[in-house]
Amino acid sequence: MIYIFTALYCEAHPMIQKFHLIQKSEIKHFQVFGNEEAGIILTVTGVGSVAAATAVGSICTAFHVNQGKGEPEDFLVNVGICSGNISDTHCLKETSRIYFCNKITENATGRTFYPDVLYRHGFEETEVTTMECPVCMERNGLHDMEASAVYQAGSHFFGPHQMSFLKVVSDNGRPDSVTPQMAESFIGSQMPGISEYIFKLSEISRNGKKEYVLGEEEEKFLEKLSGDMHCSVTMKASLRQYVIYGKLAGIDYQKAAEEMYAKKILPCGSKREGKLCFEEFRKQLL
Amino acid sequence: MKNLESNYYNPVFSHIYVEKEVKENARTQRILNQFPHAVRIEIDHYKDVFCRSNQNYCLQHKSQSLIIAAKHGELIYKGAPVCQSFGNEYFYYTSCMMNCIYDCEYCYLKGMYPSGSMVIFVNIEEIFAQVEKILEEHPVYLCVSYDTDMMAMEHVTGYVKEWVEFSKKHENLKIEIRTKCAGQKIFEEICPQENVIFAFTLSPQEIITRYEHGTPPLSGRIGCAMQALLKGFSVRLCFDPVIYCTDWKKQYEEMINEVWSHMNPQKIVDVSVGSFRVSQDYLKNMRKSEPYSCVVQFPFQNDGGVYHYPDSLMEEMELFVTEKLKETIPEEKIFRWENKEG
Repeated sequence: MIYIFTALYCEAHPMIQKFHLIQKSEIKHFQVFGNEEAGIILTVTGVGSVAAATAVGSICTAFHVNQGKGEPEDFLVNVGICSGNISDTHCLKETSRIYFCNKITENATGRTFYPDVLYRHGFEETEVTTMECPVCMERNGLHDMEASAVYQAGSHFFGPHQMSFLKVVSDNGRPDSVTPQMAESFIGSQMPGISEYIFKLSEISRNGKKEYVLGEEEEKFLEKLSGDMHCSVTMKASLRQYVIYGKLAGIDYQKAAEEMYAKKILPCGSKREGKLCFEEFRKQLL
Repeated sequence: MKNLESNYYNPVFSHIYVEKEVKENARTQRILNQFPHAVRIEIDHYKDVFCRSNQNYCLQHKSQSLIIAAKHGELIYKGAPVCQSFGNEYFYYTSCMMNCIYDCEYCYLKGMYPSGSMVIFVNIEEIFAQVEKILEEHPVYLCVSYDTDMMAMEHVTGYVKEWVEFSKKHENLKIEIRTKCAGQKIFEEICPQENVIFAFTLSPQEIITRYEHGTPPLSGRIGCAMQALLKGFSVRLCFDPVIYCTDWKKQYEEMINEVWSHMNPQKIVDVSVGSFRVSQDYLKNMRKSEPYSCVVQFPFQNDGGVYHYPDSLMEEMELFVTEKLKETIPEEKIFRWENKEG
């Protein structure tokens, strides 16, 4: 699942349209939109660090982010507008440029955060500083009001390789000049790149599905085998490791066990017999 | 907008994190110049990136980042009990780099470090200074390429050359440079020294193909060791770790035959033999990050916090390799790892 967080509805609107997201009325405290089939949940957090952290924490808890083993990997994407003046590298003549943030600095504390940039993307990269209030002056670099909070709250649920921060420049130190229509238009103008990246993450998410080594039937077999061997907790853990190894090494451990059943070595009558039986099983596998 | 390519991952060293403290350092500049297209990110301290929580070592290794930093505090460590001292009383190791470009499934670094990023410490003079301080007290046997493969990164760092130069000035220092590398160019650029040992880790080709991803083939490693011998360098061969597979006897016998068909055993300084072993904490992390790896999911035996193959198998594997080596190399040149603390 891809969890998108924006501060404002106007920032979210182009994505709601593009990804055909439907409002999830069961969630009361935030505006949440989703498309189960596309694997996208979008949340409008409200402006500022406290609102952003609260929303990320609540939504990730409510949706059990990255908790389901056997489920596809989850990703967090923070999309929003920011003030920007990248005069160091090139004079920014026009707004609506989009940046992928590889470093986030929290202005209030000076703390820095580094989302991994493992996956290819088509954006320019730079750093962003998260301010406590709107920046009403020309300052070099990007400035927003949520990224550091989203990262910190998100890091309870996601690894640094699972969080991305996309910022679209809306103004050059005059945020009061940006209307909701302009914000929507800026994000909208970058939707081809944003949607391409989101779809790429969806693909990675699906392909990164964390499957168990042992399937359901194998778990049942292991359960029966450990019961029939009168395994203690420690012995069962050891037996499990042998079974996992057997499967990965291409050893037919089930056949080995079945032969022991055929020879009436299994099921065992006591713990003592179980230990001897386990030894025999180990020998069969190595 | 540039187009997203079919391959998900950024290329290795596409992103380089540079500590503020060393951004003007000449070594830093030299390294950066080799990666002109890399994205550079300034950081306060390498641990801000290297020690983040919830990192995924294996995924990070697919798109490995580089961190250029300075290391302070204690820089020379006493040799770990799981490592072979080769009879040296004062056995130490140091890490002027952390992590490796190779991707061996059984590598303990995957369990030891929180991150798959590679760190290069550019203040190598501080390491030299600490070695000199210890040398004032007694001789030192120092392994300089344990937590990395320094030879494999020589084109980037030039550290092998620097260590060889440093060793030239200190007769009572003996260094070991352990590698799986096949690059022979270095032997044209440095002079042989008795107190510098190039230690080549050799594995059967089957094990290399299955578990030592991205490493040179056995033939390449043998060729590199032969070139080192030809140029007069001290060469050690490490049959360590010996890795179990169903036909391990055949695999290791063929490999040893292959080695001696090319190399003169008389010219080898010594050889080491040891089956795979790793601390329990590291194995726990390795099993978590590599759930499908046959080599780390082996049902090892735990003795005193060190996991190893079951006693009988460990003994059988190490004895077999040792006996096979004894056919061509004097026993006193064979060092077999023993768990003195176990």
